[in-house]
Amino acid sequence: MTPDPGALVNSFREEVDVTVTGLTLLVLGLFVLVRATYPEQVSQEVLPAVREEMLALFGPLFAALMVVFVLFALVIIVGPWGKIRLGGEDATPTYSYPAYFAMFFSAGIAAGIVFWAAGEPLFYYAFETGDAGMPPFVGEEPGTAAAERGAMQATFFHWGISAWSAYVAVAIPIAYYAYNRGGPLRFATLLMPFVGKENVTHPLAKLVDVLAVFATIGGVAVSVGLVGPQFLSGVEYHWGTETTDADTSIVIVGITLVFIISVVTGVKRGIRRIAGLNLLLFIGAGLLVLALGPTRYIIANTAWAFVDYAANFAQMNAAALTTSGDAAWYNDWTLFYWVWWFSWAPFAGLFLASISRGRTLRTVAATGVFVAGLATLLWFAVVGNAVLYTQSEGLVDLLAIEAFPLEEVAGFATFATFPFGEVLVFGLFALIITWIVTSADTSTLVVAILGTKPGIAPETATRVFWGVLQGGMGLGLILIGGADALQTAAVVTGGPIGVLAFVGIAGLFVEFSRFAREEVADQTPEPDPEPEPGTEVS
Amino acid sequence: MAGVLERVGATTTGMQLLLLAWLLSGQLLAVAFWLPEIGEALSATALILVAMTFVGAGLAYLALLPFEPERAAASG
Repeated sequence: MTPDPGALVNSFREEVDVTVTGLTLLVLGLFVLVRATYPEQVSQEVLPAVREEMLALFGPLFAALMVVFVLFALVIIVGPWGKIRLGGEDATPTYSYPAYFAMFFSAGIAAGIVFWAAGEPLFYYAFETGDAGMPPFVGEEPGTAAAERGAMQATFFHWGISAWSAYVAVAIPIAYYAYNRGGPLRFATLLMPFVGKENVTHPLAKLVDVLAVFATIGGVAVSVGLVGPQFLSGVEYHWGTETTDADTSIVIVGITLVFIISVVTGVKRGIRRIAGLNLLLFIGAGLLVLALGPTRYIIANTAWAFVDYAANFAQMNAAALTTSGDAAWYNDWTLFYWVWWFSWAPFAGLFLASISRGRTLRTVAATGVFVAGLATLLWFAVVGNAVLYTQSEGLVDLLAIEAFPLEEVAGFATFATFPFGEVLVFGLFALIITWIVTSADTSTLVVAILGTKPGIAPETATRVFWGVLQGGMGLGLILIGGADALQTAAVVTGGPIGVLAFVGIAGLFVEFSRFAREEVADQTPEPDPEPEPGTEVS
Repeated sequence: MAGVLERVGATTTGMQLLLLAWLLSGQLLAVAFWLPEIGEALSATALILVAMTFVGAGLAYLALLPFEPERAAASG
C-alpha cells in the first residue's frame, strides 16, 4: 500500500509538539546560520574556548558526577531498591533478555567503538605524555611493555562501567516515574519529584527536552556524518582507490535510508532485529580476531587490563577529580569522554527506559553497567591488544600510515595481516554500518518521542521527519563543513545534562528514602490504573 | 521456488527485489574482497555502491519482514 502524503502530513501536524520541535529547529537553524556566517570563529575559537573553559571550571564537577553515577548504579544493584519492578509487581518484560540487551547495547555506542578500539590504545602506547599521548599515571617510556598495560588501562577507564553508568543514571529515574508513577516518557521527567507530574510538560520544563533533542541530534547527526568519511578511509586504504564527496553522500544517504526504514518499522521489527544482527556480528568478529590474531598475547594482556582497571579504578577517578598538573591529558581525554557520554545519556537512557517495562531496577542497572560494560571492554581488549601486538612486533608500522587518521585505518591495517584477513576486514566494514544504524534508528525514535505531544506515540510521519533531519544534518555538515562545531556544541550540552541526571537520581533517592523503614517490595507504588499513553513505543 | 521465497519472507515483489539486490551485490562484493585485483580495478564509486546496496538491501529486508505474531496470524 502506498502511503498517502496528505495523511502523513496531517498525522505529523496533529501529533507534533510545537514547543519542543519548534525550539529545536530554531536552535539548530541559528546554529547553522551563525556557523555559516562566522565559520572560522565558531569552529576554531568560540566553541573550543567554551568547551575548554567549561572543562577548566567544571571538570572536577563532571568527574565527581561520574563517580556518583557509578555509585548510584552499584547501590541499585546491591541495595534493596533493586527489587522494584518497573510497571508494578505483575508487569512482565516486553522483550526477551537477549533482545533487550542487544537493543540497549547497540544503541549506546555508535561506530566509534570500531575505530577507537583500534586507535585509542595506540595513541596512549606510542606517544609521549601530553595532550594526546600516554596517560600521566603510567610514568614509562612510550613503546614499552608497561606502556602497553597503561594504554589498555586508560582505554578501559574511558569506555568501561563509567560510561554506561551515566546512561543508567538517566534511564532508571525516567523509567520509574513513567511506569510506576504515571509520568510521561520524556527527559524532563527527571524533574518530576521536584516540579510534580503536571508540570513535567510545562513549556519551561520542555526546555529540558529541547536540550536533550539538541544534544542527541548534535551527537548522532555528527556521528552519521563522520561515519561516511571514516568508512571511505577504509575503502581507500584497503583497495588503494580514491573517493570523492559523491561517495560520501552515497554512504550517508544509504545509512539514512536504512535507519529510517528501521525506525519506521519500529522496536519490535527493524530496531530489534538490526540490533540482534549487530550483536551477532560484533561477537563473531571479536571471536575471530581472538582466534586468528595473537591469541596468547590477547588473553594474557586482557587479564592484565582487567586487573589494572579494577585495581586503579578509584585512583584514576581521584586523579580525574584533581587534575592539577596533568590537566591537559585529563581534559582532552577523560573529561571529554565524560561530557560526551553525558550528552548521549538522554537518548541512550530514554531508550533504555522505553524498553525496560517489566524489569527490576537491578536488572536495568546490572545490564547497563556490568553486561554492556563487560561486552565493551572485551571488544576493546581483543581489538586493542591485537593492534598493540601488530605495532610492537613490527608486523605493520601503523604509526607510519600518514595518509589517514590513525584511528580510522589501524583496525583495517591490523586485521589484514591475520589469516583470513579479508573476512575480518569485511566484518569491520559491516560493523561500522550496523553500529551507526543501530544508534541512529534508536536516537531518531527518541527525538521523535520528545518532539511529539506527551501521551502520543510518534507515528510514521514524525519518525521520518526526525530521521531525515538527522541524516540531512549529517550530510550537510560533512559537505559544507561544521561537523566539528556541532560536535563541540553537543559536548558542551553534556555538562548541564550531567547535572540534570544528578538531580534526577537525587529526587529518586528522596522518594525511595520515604519508604526506608518498610519492606521495599511491599512499598513499591502500584502503577497508575491507566498508564500514561505512549510510555511504550513500538 | 515459491516455497523457498515464502519461507524466507520474500512474499511481495518489493521484498523479492530487495533479496535479489542483496544476493547480487553480495556476490560482487565477495569477488572484490577475495580477488583484490578486481576490487582495485573497480572505481571507488562502484565499490561503494555495491557495498551500500548489499548492506542497505540486507538491513532493509530484515527490518521489513513481518513481525512474528503478524506472520502467524496471516498464516493461521
